[in-house]
Amino acid sequence: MKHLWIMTILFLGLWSCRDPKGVTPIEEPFEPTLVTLEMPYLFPIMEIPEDNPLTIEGIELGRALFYEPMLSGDDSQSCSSCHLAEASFTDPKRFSKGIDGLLGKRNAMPIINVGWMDKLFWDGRASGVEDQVIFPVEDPIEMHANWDNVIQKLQSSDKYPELFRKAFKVKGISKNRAIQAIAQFERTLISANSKTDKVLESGSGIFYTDQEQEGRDLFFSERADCFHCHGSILFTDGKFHNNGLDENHEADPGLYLVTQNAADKGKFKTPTLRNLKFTAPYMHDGRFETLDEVIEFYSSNVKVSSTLDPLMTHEGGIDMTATEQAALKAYLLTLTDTSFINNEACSDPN
Amino acid sequence: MDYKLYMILFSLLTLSTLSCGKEEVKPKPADVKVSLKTYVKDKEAVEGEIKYTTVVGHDYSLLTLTYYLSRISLVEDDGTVVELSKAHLFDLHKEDSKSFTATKIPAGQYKAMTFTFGFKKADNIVDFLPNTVANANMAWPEQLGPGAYHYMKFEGNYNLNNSGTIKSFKYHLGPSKGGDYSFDVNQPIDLKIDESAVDLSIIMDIDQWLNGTTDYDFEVWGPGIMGKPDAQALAQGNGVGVFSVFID
Repeated sequence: MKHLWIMTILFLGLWSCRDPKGVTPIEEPFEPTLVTLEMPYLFPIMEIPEDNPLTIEGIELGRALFYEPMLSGDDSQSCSSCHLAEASFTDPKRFSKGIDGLLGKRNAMPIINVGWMDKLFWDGRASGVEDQVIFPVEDPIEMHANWDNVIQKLQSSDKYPELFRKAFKVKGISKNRAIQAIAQFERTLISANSKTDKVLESGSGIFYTDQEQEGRDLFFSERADCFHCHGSILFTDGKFHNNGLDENHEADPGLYLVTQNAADKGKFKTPTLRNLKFTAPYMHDGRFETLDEVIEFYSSNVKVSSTLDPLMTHEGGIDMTATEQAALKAYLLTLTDTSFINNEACSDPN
Repeated sequence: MDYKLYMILFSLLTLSTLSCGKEEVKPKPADVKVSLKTYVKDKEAVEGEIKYTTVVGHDYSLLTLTYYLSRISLVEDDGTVVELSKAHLFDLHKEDSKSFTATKIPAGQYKAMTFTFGFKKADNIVDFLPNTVANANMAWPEQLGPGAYHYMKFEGNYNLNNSGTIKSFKYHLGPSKGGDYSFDVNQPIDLKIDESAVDLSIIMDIDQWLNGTTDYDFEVWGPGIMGKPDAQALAQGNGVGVFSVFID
């Protein structure tokens, strides 16, 4: 009698654990492997959310999702469609085309070293990396998908249920886990192997040429004053500035769209200068096709408006000579990191 | 018998009460919250409009203000120095930078609050602060002199001779060409700390940077002064009247 009771309880227990299809999966416990990112020389501490630590399996899943067309409404586009590795994770086209053939109004921002940034996008509408992942999937002029549908598609696929289980220890796919995984992958998109990085590392035996050094001195002078917005080892302050592209900002008021503060009209997030050899076209609207055009703009074409940043001269530009412009360009090109765009670990695994 | 028992109990009670009376009640430490406020003269500063005046005749605006105070301390009556913060970075655009709380500050009678505006030369080194993005954004370029961090970035626009021509200024202070232009602030206070949390305010009157001991003329010094030791020295001199401390 006693044994019968035990058998009944055991049977009921197993019955309650069955999955909806009537098959009881036998799963081995799985513990994702924590990853500690090695901070490149001089790079600040990267703050990683406590609820989304980096793991080998999470990064692997995020990488697969980053290149996964199922994240778009018609399975035709992935994050990588507008953030191409060979273009340092931006789009060489001025405006990216979404799945319905519609064009955006801004150039895709490069996804480089975003782990050190908050307030992402040109207008700062995303509070952090995880938040940033949400927008393009749902945006009607981009991937134009519905997260619920995306999750269903992933759930029905052969590979994703297992990748999610390994990454998050639990069965099931959710929007939040997909976002967390992509964010984990994006935090690994670190570019820190440029000539400048090597020069700064003492003992590397690599030095700037005279022209590059002249450009560097100009960059860090108060006259050119590139460094206050593009300073630190990240070559961006991560803040928002009106750099004098336009006299009025009606076409695209930038940060103002998020804050509704008139003082923010015409302000856009400072992009990193790292790898700008590969990130043309330049500025939030991709108006400049070449670095020469950008430098010429800062030299002679800065427009004054009420929100022009005080770091910018109010007298049209800093009037660089041709020699200075060439030197500045030479220095900026020392931020080129070819190993980053060719990094196998950042490429399409699918 | 009953009387004897009563007497014994009474004696024990008296003894225990007396022994309790001898136990010294130690004063307890308390948290000290320090708020950093920005004023123009006697009113809280408002970011944006060109509405503040200079003696030399250019009205100006406040658009950016970030600065460090280091070695923020309270001084007890007996001269003991209790450090509240090794360094604090204030940013006008970041609410969470406008105050900090030092926990478990020893009880006692305090006579002064002291701090350094910016960093003394020995402290203005890369390893003095954690390598955060916020600190990295305050880096002082080697091209403008050895030293790790700006002391302050104070930026805005000004109306040239109030004629309608708008220009910008960058009043950035730091170790220009290797000099030390930090200065110490010592503000007397009468503060007793004992268990209850205490609120203090440090007020920076930005007007004093421009209209202090020496009048500062944007036109004379130009848009940037990081490479101008004379301008840094002028600012250092004006710093005397910039800070005040209050118990809230």
